[in-house]
Amino acid sequence: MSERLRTLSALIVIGVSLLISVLVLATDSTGVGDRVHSLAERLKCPICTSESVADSPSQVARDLYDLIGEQVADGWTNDDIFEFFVATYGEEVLLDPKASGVGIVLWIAPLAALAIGGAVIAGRRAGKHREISQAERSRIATALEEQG
Amino acid sequence: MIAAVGYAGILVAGISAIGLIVQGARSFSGTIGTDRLRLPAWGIAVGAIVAMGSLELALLTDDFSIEYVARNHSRDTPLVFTIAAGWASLEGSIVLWGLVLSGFMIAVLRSLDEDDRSGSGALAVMGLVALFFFGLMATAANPFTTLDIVPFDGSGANPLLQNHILMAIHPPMLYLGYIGFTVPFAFAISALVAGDGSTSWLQRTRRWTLIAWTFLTLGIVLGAWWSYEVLGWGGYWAWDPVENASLLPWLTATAFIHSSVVQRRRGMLQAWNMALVISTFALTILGTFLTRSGVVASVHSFTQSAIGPALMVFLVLILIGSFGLFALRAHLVASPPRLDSLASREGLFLLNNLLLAVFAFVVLIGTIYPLVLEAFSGDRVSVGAPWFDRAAIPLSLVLLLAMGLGPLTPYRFAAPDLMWRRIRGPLQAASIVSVGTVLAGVRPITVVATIWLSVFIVSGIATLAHQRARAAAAPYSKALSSLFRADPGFWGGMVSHVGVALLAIGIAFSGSFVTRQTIAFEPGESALFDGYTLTYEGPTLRDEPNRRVIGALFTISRGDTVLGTLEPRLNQYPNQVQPIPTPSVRTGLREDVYLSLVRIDSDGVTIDAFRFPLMWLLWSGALLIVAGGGWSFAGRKRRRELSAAKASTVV
Amino acid sequence: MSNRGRLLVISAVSLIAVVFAVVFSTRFGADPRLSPSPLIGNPVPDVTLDLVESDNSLRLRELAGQILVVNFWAPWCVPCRAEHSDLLALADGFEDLGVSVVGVVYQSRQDDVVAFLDELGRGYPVGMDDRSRAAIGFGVRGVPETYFVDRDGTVVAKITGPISLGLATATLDRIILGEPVESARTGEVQTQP
Repeated sequence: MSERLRTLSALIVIGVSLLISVLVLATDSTGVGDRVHSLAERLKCPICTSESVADSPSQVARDLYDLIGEQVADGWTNDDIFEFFVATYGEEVLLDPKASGVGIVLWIAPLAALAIGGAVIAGRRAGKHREISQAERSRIATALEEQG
Repeated sequence: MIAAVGYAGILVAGISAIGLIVQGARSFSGTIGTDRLRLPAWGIAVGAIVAMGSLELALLTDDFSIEYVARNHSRDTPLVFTIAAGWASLEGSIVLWGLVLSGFMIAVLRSLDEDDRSGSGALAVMGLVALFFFGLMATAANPFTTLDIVPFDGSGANPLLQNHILMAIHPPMLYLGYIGFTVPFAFAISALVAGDGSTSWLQRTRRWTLIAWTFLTLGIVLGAWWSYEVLGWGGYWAWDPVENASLLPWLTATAFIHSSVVQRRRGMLQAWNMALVISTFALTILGTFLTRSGVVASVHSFTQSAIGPALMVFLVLILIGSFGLFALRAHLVASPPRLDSLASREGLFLLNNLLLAVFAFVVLIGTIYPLVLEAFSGDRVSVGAPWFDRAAIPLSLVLLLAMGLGPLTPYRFAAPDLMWRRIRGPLQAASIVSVGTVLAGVRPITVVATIWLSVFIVSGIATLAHQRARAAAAPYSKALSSLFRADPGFWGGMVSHVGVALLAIGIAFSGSFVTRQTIAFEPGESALFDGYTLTYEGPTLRDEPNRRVIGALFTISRGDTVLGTLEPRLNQYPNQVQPIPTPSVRTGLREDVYLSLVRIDSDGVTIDAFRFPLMWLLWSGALLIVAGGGWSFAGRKRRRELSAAKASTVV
Repeated sequence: MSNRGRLLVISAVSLIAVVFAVVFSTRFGADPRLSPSPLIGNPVPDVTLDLVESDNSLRLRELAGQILVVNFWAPWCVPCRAEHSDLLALADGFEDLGVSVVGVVYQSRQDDVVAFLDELGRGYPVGMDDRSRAAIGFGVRGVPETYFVDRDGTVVAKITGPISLGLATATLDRIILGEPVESARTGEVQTQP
């Protein structure tokens, strides 16, 4: 009885917390984020080795940051802005390569690796032989754990 | 004179390495005993000590007839950076490499039995690696090249390297980690050649793996800390190729540490473990190559040099040689698949391995894809933080989930009712804390998820420790501490897990709630920054032996309370036009206030002011990971000594 | 593992290793920071400069019909000092052939520019680059960089690093004759003071 009570109270606590979190997060209008900054984070500072426009303390990066701010204020879309910078600095100005053309490999390869790895593990599981039923094993495991 | 002695040391070590390969192979085949390995192994060590000692002596005595000294040292260089100059530059770093490797070889030598085939084979493999590095020192990366015309003074070390004390410690830690992985690699190769399917290679190298992993972790953390303290852009991790190079072997080594537990407990994954160890070693060489060949542009990279091609050939030989061997012999050593159910601790270990392996693959692809693309098509792309983050964040979140579940999950099969009883406590704790943070205004969802997972991990571990200690006969606190001592491997790991949870919260908070503002001040002027008042008191100037330090003195206050002073600086080194900044950081319980000097002249200053919440959590989490690693190998040793002492009293 | 499996693993690893080797061999000695300009073959960016020691401004596109040599430089840039006399000579020598040299100051203060010109001489218009708009428009990565624009207003070549009179003259000769020209890299560029 107390076991069932514990389960019930745990479910209630978890359920209510989750519900509140989801409701609050879903109805939240703040946290859209600073568009200029997030754009600047995705563009490489042209005179730096690996820093973004947002991170670099150099004057050029600041000027670029301001320019992005003006472009955003003028109603440019993200793609317009990226295109503008690619036209002057080349593709390498994008720290987040486009999911097309030469950048496509970078998007497919990780997913492919995940899929292949998952398939290998699943295959391993399938290759095993069953001697005892799942229910039996569950009982044994529970009993063992209770003891130990 | 010093140069000749040092070079002789390199030659002695190199020749001894050949001796070790030959004798190791003979001992491996059973023709001679392992006592015959002692001479060549010590020969390498003595040669390496002589080489490193000579280089340090040359630096300390201002011997500018040696080119390395002339390029990396000057009479004004402070003592600590003079010593650090011995490994701060390319050739010296290879000498340190050789020295550390020889230290590991001596340690392996001392662990050998009289007739120890796998150990002898491992030493022969290590001899091969040593031969390569000492060969490099003797040819392409000779640190003892002399100059015909001896300059009066040297040009001094790279300003970035002599700007902060961390630069003296970070590389040796990283090397201890990198090079330590030679040991499990060598034992794995030895077992493969012998076709030895037992797990003795794993048992014998577990401690080395833990030591290497711990130092590698420490090295990475120190590197990140150095970035934060020196580079002045406020970050600690930029997904820079060289940073990635140190992360790659860490990821595969972390996978190995976990999967080796599965092998010890359940006898699975032998071949996979060997593949992981070989990959880890190959990745350390790749990292060395990327850092030292000048093929990638990085804030950390050494200048271009002739050792690039040599390292590349070595890497290719390792890849083809060891994976070729693996493909030919793995069936001899492979363990039978014994996975009963994916819903088990083994299953979670497999998930952990899958995710870490994919993580490593992602980092590898992102790091070298620009090079590959440019080589084949001439197109240039950059792969930067946004791309890496997109892959790393979901992978990390699932890893955290597996990390929370793993220690609570039984081996073989996790019965749902048992699992539920174990996880419901942590689940409730995680849900309550995260709903609290949501109501307190924490956004976005990734941060909330990180908090949820971190609390789940920590409370799960706490529950586990609590239950075990309560079940023990001894008084609670005593039972708790003996718990930690009894199984340092497991509980060291749990300490690291807690560290990861704290680190995750630190990363999520400091990354998501950073405030940055560029502020210009005239002398005496104040400005508001995120609730703080910064007042520019005036410029400061002092001449140190190796540099001129230009600072800007600020007082920082909150309301009417003066909290202290901050002095971001620019350091001007004689051998570089561009000054190196030293940001000034005020660490608090809530947040770090971080000031970096952008420009200073008589009219005033411009600074970048940052606010990073909970940075201390990030660093202490990172150090806790290291501490957990340290406990798992140091505690293990103590346990062995304890049992040895017990055994002797019984006799 | 089956024989075929083994063969597969070995050949895959060898292939990867060899690809690696090929990839990296092409990179030895190359400067990872050097990159081509996407501007070549495109119209000159529409930038306007505030001329130094003058109240006028200069819009580059208004110089259409002339051959342009647009030189980005800075008074704190060491190689720029070396190339300055060559630029003066170039401006002087090609003036009658319809070539205009324009200097664009990168990341500097006007006082320093005037001091530099006082020391090393004047001979062609020099403009300040407000908020780095010209540098951003041209995709400048450091100084000195020099862009060549033909009579149609198309950017045809870029010299990264200090120009030499010989190289610049040869480039201009080819542009005047309407022959194709190539970009070149002559040395280091400086990114910051």
